Amino acid sequence: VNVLFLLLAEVSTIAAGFGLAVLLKPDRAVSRLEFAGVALLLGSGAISILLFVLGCFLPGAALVPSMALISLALGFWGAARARGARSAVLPGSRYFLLALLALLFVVGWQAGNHPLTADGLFNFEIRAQLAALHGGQVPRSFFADPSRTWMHPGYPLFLPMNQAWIYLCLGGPHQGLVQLLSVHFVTAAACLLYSGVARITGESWRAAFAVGLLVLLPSAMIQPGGATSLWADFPLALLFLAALIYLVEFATTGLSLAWLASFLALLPWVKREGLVLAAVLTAVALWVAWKRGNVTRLLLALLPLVVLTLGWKAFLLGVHVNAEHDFVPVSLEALGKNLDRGPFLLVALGHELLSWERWSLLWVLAAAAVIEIARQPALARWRLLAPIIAALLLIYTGIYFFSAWASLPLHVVTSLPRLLLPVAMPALLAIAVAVPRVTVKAPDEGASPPDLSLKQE
Amino acid sequence: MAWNRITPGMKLRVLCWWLAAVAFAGCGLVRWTQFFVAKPPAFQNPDAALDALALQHFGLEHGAATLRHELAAFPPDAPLLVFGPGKDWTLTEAHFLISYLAWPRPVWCVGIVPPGERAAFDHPPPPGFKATGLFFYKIGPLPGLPARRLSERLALGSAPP
Repeated sequence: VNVLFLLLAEVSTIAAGFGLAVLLKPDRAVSRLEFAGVALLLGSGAISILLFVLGCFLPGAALVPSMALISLALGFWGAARARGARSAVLPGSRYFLLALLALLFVVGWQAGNHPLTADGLFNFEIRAQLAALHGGQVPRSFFADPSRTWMHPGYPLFLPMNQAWIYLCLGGPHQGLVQLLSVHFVTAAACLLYSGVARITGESWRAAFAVGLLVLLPSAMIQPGGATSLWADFPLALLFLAALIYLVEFATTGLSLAWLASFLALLPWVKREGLVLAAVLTAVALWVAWKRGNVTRLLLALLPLVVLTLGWKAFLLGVHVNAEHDFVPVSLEALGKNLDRGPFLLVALGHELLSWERWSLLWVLAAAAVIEIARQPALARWRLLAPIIAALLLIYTGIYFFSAWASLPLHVVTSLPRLLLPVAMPALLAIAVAVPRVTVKAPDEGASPPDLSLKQE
Repeated sequence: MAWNRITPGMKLRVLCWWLAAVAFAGCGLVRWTQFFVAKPPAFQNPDAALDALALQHFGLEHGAATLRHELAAFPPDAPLLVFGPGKDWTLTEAHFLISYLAWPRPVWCVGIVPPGERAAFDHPPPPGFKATGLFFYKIGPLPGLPARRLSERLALGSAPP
């Protein structure tokens, strides 16, 4: 019976995401893999927002049927609208699907053997548990409880609401089965990465290489914050990856702005640092839009980001959230006072980037990839990755100048590795597109990648 | 263009890239093998995470159910206090775990340290706080206080009136 209710939770999430993916679809053919990745991710966003909003007005027995009806209706509408639409063909997708099944089996198995811990339990899952036990709504008193400020009451609810949706469908909290949400996010990551790289480069081996990099990156899969741990860091990195892929497409063709804007909007809804990621990508998108002459279109597309961010802030104000004191207010005075932290922070960053246990050789390869991309005109579309990586490394290291922790090393050690997980996504993309082929294309072969978006099944 | 028709410099570049990629994969596989647990997944336990932590820190089997049962004796607004070694990072998780299960009761934590030192892992209550229930983690209960052991590392007592 549990499996059936778990399926209801997953199918309704996918249905809601599929409907939205169709609604916001770019004006080009989309492969089934790409649709799957976008639907899984948008579905998680839609379910979390829907549950948060409906939970405030419709708590109790009517909540689950209403949510399920809305989600399934969106899915059916999307299916009807997508009928007969062009579908792109991605090379090698059958082999990819076989490999994906094997990967998901291993991820599900290992997620089931590694119960939630630390942040995953005390910062995220507890909200889901409370929501499930209080008719779908996290009790207001949770946010203002002074004895639980260490639970970071200001953290947003993307992951907890997805977990709560599973709990509500199951009829109660279940920390064993909720681990299977890892499979949902890994599927989305693999589908988006494979389809994105294959579509933009036209080379399926690069797409498979990119997915291989992600799977073998310890921080992304098996470290605290990785996919199997079910903390919010992996979904945040995944949304950032999706936004990056569609930012590259928007920069190159002007397409996929709606998908880009959706993923940007969801970033601050997953974790507070998502706002930093969204701000950096928005700055790059504005620069791109200014060059393309469609700044107004981009500004309109950024409305969901503004609404969701301000909406969450307004909610926190309304429930009198207890302020957390991890950082002092950012000011020149505070920076000047803590400037002596600079050398330590640089050493800590270097030490972290070279930690093979967490990053393997990712950052060494990323440095080489950035140089390759700068040298080769054929890779010009990927040149925006380097400033994004650099800006985020600078911001995420610099933020510790404002750390309010009594022990700065403890603050750095417990948070920096996870802050860097989203930054690993542009690094990973850069490596995948820059790694040279073992056989080199003749000049007439390699001039431009084939436009897969025009092929039809 | 085939491998034998590219320049030696380019060959070296390709070789370096792919050697680094193989090293990347090797490191990743080593970490996966260290992480891998070759037993059936524990999907059937609704309290999987809480039970695992209670076993790890308190040595309690079925810890979530045991602690829920003990906490049910306190009214929903009863303030609770956890005492433990203030320099031991596991005090944080012990406090968090009790706080998780004790919702909606407020739970604070006091780290015990030698005089003149400051606890690194606690969350002390505001001045004037009066607890109803007291948990003692990895330390003995206060002398003369009625308390009983829930496990080797955890004891529970009621505050004197």
